[in-house]
Amino acid sequence: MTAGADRIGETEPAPARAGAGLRVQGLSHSFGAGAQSILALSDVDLDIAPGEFHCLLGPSGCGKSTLLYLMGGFIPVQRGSVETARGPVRRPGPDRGIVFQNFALFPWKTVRQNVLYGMANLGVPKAEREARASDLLAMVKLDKFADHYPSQLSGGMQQRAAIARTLAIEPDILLMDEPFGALDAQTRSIMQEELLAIWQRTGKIVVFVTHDVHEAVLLGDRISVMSARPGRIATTVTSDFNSERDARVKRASEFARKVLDLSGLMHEQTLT
Amino acid sequence: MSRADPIAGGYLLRALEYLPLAILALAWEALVRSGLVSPSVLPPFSEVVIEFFRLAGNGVIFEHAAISLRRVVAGLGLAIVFGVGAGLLMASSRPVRVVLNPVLGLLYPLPKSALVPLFMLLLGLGDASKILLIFIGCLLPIVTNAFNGARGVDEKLMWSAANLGADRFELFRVRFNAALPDILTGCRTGVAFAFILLINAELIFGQDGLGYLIASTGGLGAYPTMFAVVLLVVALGFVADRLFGLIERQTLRWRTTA
Amino acid sequence: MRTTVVHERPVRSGVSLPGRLAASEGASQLIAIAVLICIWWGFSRWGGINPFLLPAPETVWQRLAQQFASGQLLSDLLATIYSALAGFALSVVLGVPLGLAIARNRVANWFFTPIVSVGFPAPKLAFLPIFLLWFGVGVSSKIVMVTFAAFFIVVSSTAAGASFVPRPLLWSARSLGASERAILWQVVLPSSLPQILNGLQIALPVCLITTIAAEMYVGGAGIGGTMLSASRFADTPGVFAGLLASGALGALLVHLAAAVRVRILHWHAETRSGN
Repeated sequence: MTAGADRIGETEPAPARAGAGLRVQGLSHSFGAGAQSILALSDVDLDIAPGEFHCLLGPSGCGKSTLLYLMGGFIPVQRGSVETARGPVRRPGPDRGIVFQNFALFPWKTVRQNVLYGMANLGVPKAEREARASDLLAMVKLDKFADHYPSQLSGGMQQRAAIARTLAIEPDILLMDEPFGALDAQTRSIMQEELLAIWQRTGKIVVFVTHDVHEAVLLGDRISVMSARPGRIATTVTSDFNSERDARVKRASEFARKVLDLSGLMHEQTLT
Repeated sequence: MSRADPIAGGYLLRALEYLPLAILALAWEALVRSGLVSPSVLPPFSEVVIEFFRLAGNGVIFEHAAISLRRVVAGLGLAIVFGVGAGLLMASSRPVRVVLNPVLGLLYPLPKSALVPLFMLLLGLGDASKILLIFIGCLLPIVTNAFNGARGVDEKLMWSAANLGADRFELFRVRFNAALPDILTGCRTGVAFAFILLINAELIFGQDGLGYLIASTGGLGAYPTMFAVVLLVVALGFVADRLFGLIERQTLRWRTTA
Repeated sequence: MRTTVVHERPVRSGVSLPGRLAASEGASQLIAIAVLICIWWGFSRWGGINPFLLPAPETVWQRLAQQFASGQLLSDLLATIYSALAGFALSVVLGVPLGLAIARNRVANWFFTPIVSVGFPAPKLAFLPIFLLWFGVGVSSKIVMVTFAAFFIVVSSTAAGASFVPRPLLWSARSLGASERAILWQVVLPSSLPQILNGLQIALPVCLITTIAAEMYVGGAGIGGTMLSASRFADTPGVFAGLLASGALGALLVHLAAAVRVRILHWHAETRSGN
């Protein structure tokens, strides 16, 4: 962690850390054994720069989640390599925080207790833990519900709690597995804006898995379009709608064209 | 504890699964032979096995087993017929439900084995008391599961059936089939209960049957015989459960593993 | 998945629904008991049934009062409760850790699964004569018997609950820096708690049944022992008295267990939705 790191919640964006990128090389992965073996990923190369918001876009079954889990160290690498500034990825760790589609909050802990969990494991001193948790909860606007249980909250609130929990351990990289997939359209829209705000404030790498083209174009700096069977990155596109609020509205026709292009690409990948 | 049986691999694989039991038997034998445990307290496994075959040979064990099984089948059969019927009825008819629900709720916490002395007193030491005990004891899980199963049927399923011209009889069949998984679960619990109640009754108040055999051999100090019968009882309970599981799987073949 | 408009208010958790339902359930049970007693009284008054087969409620009540006055009722209840709860506690202490081990450790799984699987449907009381042989005709053999009977239930429901911890929960914990050992206690155990408690709630009445049955076999102290002597002396009111006592005890335990479950699982969705 950088010395004198800005406290989360302050308005100045944190500086992008030098060399804190994510690099994937020649990554291949198969499930099952022998005759029933399925090649989920085939020779994937990816280079993500510090502070980049990178979307993995593709239809179901294209291996985008598998790629994410390999980056997170949740599945052991079979062939190829995944590296961060801290070295090769071999197991899960607090430098790569993960957010799941179904929130994965510990239902027996309150929101606050969930947010505190990681910090306790990392040995953050008590006073600092509490302070950081309060800041984060305020940032995601859950300070009034900090002592509620997840089962008492709506989907959007639970997802915010999950994001706060992951941010609490100050990971270099935020891995997100279709985090807004379980939310209704309106909540999803709000959460997308909030995620962008958080990203701009904290300057972390975000690897975001989605099958929604709109979402990818809105959120990503770069979008890797993936194809299935076997999973490959078909092409990588840049996008620049995420820095400005309401960019979608202001540059509506550009946005629409980009979405159409990518939809076409994805459609092609599904058919092949 | 349900386990999916291995699909491929046949009998050898199945046998290997139960290897830990063989290890346990070996440990048992070793424990006694090595002198760590006195054979008067724990007869060696080999002796128990020999004793079992002796009993099988002179027919004693089959006699008592037949008596016990007869009671189980009768009591369980009655419980299934009446229990499933009652459960389904409760699910479709409000007045029936209102009447039976509190009755079941009352029976639930009553330890069914507590009924043993009463039934012995009222119906004597023969078959009738035990069959009645098994009937009453197994009734509860069967009715509850049948009721929940029938209750839990997706209404849309019923509407589709009605939409496709089903009459009352057909609708009942649809509901029955949809509730079948739960019904069978209840029956499987019933099987276990039946054996438990049977043995309890025969142990405490028996004149014949496997439970009685255990008690009498124990009382006479014929421990190898006693252990042999106990093992047989365990084996019977296991086989009955597995058999029922097989029936369940065959009947519910249409169900993809949940 | 909630599909309503985004709301900032949490789901109402005010008057807990389970509390309300329980009240009306309890009321209907009491009504049912009252009705049953009236019917019983009606039958005995009618005189159509041999009082030997069905003694009048008053007679049974008198017997209970007698037993209470002589202190026997209390000592019987205490003896039975003691054996039942001691066996229950032991089965939990032994069964939960084993269930966790079976769920998370492959060797333990391989070794113990067939053993539990074979033992589970077996009538456990068949082992009572064996335990009497080993531990004598005292309280210890009863407690061992009860432990043995409840053990398989506890192990199998613990194993079932612990083997289905949602992957995202485990992975989140790992990515939040928890060690495997910490995960067992901090994530696996709480996550399996509903299933474990299911098993315990089933095991508790089993402990009571087994205690009473064991007492019937051995004779002597406890509700079962008293019922046994009553039946030996063809004392039907005595047997009925024992029945009522067991029923009451059983109901008490079941309700207590349900209340404890609600307390422990206060964080769980089922507790809030009143299922």
